[in-house]
Amino acid sequence: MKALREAAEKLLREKRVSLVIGYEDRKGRPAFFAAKPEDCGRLAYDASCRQNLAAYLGKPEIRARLPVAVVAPPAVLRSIVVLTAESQLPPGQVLALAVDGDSFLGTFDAAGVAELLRAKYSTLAPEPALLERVQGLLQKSPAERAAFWEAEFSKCTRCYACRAACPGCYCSRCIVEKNAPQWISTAALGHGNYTWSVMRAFHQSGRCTLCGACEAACPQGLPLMLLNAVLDREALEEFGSRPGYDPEAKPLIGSWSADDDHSYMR
Amino acid sequence: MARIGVFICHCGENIGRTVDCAAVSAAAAKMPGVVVGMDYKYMCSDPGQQMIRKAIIEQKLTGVVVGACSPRMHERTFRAAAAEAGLNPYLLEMANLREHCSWVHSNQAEATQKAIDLVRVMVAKVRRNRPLRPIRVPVEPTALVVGGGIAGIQAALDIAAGGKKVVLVESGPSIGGHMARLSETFPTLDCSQCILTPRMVEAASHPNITLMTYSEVASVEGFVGNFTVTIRRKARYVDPAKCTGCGDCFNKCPIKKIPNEFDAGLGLRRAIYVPFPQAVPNKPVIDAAHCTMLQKGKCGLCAKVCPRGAIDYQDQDRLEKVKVGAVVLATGFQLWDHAAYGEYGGGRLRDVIDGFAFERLASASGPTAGLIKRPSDGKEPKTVVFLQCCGSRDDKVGKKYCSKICCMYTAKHAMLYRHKVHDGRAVVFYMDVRAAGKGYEEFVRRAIEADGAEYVRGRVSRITRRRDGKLVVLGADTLAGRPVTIDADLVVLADAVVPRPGSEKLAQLFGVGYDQDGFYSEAHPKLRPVETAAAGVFLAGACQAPKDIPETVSQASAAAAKVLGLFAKPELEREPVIARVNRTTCAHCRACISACPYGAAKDFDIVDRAGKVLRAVADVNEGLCQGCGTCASVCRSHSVDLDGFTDEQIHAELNAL
Repeated sequence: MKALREAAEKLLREKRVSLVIGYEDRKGRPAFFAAKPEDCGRLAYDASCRQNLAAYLGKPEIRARLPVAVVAPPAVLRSIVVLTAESQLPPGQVLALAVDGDSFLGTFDAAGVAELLRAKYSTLAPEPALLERVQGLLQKSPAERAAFWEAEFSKCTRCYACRAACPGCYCSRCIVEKNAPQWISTAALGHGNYTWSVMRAFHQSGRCTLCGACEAACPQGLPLMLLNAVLDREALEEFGSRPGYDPEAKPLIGSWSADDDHSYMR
Repeated sequence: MARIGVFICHCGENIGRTVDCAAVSAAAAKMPGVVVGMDYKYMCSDPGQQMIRKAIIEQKLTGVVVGACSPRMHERTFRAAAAEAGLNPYLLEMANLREHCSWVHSNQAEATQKAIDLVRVMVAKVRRNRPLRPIRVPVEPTALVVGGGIAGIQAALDIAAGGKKVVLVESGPSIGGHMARLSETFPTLDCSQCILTPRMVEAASHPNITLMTYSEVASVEGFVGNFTVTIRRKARYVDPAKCTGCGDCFNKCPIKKIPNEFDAGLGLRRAIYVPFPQAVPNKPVIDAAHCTMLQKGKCGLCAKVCPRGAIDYQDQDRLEKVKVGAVVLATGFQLWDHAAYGEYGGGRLRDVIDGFAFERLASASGPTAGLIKRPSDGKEPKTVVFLQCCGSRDDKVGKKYCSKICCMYTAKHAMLYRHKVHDGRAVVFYMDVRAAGKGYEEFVRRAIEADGAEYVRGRVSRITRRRDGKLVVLGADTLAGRPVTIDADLVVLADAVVPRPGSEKLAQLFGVGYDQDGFYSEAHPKLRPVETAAAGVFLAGACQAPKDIPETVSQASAAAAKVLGLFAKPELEREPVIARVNRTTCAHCRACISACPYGAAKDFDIVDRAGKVLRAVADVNEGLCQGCGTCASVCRSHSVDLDGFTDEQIHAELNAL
């Protein structure tokens, strides 16, 4: 904790960044924005931090204050790489204060983040508890699964906290807000709810780092990570996609090669 | 206020038989925004088009829906008619009442209701159409011809004669293709070499033709009028600029026992070789797989004897880019491998050969100098059995289709054999004799009546080799209704015609479709038989379907005419169906940029008046965009729209249902 605070303070004191985005040393570990060196004493980190701070990097208020530093556990480091690959981070404007468990790993730029991930976290797998939940879901019959999701989605109030919490949701105008024409109903009711959650997960396929921020943010407790985890597995098994490792990666949906499987064309 | 006109075509009886067209036009007339609904027997005919033109002018129409055939068929026709009447052609849409309705349904009441729904959908769409202007792009007046057989040679010569440049690419060391391997050609029995080789020479020496032999298409970029094709020039290990073709190298090469592909494996060649003496260019290449110098670094004899120092063992494949405006695919065919027929020896009986092997035996330039000798012992066969439809018309083991050329070349083989071996028996097993062509039936009759070929209608069930070397052919004479056994010295199988290996990969490079058998698909089987669905890519010869020489040459000339037509104008008008990016909502995730197969989507900086970059977004190059819509489908925020198929139009169509 001490090392993290010192590193953050140094960055601000040396004016290498104008802001450090971290977690505050209080119950629930809310996000904390340290703009002055003396604020850094309030930073903290432990395993209870579920928010993905990379989500702030897409917000115009933060972009106006670049360069910034972000406190980043491994999943957030991967989010930074995803955002770099999708040209969302201006080069050299974001530093990561890498943390893992209780330890502080150091300050890294974009290239350093990718190198750290390759060296230390190349075999990062979804949490066992999550995989267990996925297994449980897949054991249900299709009819049971449909009923399960219908019941879950019916709770959704369309507050879009899942979207706000996700670093991948950086569009300035989300598809759900498009109204000419309106493809997705915005009423918090069955069909629109269903479409929203499935489409949100689909838009993350090949990009999701399984940080869990969406599920943690949902006030209704929707098991959103089940959708993310299954899509993550599909992306890995079908296309060998592991998002968040290569800052020059082409998007999974949106790239192709002449060597792709064409057998379906017959 | 929308003023839509709806015009329903009966398409003779094609639509009218199943759909009550008068009821559809009456229902359409009551749809919101529609001011006139009419139906007519042939809307694409002059009186039909006149109805549309008259209504546009008199009723001051703002949009038109034609309920007729597929837009692939006549959208252009009707849009041209609308333009003549002063309406922007892109304010006309077609409802497909034929392929999507009358042809696939039989219940008149239901089909009529569906037709009304299809028209309602298009009325909803056309109300949201915007006038569009065609896009003009420059045309590179050079053609690429892929394949140096008779199809490719003919297409190249015709385009060159029209005054345009041609790049002729051939994967083998020489042009000439299969035709160069034939002995004589039906139905006139003129020598294949005598009619082909002068054309090969002409193709090589024509100032408008650049010949690239031993070369293959590696990749393709661009679109009609502006393709950039990368050609892989395979390492020849012989510098063609220095080589005079003297032949010292291949006369000295110690690796002598390689079966010559040109002679269907009946003759032998060296590791450095020209495939046949009349090859164009008549300059050798080294077969790297067999050359000991290239494999083990031992030998080097050819380099020693070459008086010009043309041998270069360090030679490498090179990539060369060519810019072309149109492409003719003429990759030809090969024979199906009869090893799949275990009952015919599974490819293991040496005296059971295919048609090309017989051609080489009968050819004056072949390994036997035109004497018919069987491969196993070199003896002259006294009984030769010819089997037609080997692998053709057999969808269990072989191919469903008729290979078209086998009836004729088998008659020719039987005839040539009888001309050469007067006391020999030529027995032909056939399912049907399909001799439709000028002088073809007469030719087959001549083989039977004048040259004594014995035709037996029936299939052969088994070919086995007896100890004395005879091939025992067990068959059935289905006309006489009895089994037949023939002791033969040689069996010639008329193997099915199949596409060349790698032709599917090539089709994918050019975006050309192919059927389940791998033959390239034409744009329309009757009205656009040499075009493909990929604009600017044309077909010639047996890569499209089995064809004989006259048909291949006709199609090659037709493809050349299409190419010359395309090159006649310096600019090309293209459909303005292109993608547009909404710069306000684009998040610049660059998914569209990496997805675009044409390199049309690109980065764009929004700058202020002082030139300062405010924001980066995606943008579309109008000249490159082909309107495929891939970008629109990968855009998460739906910030890309396709002109002519906008989100709003599609949504309106769905809502109308």
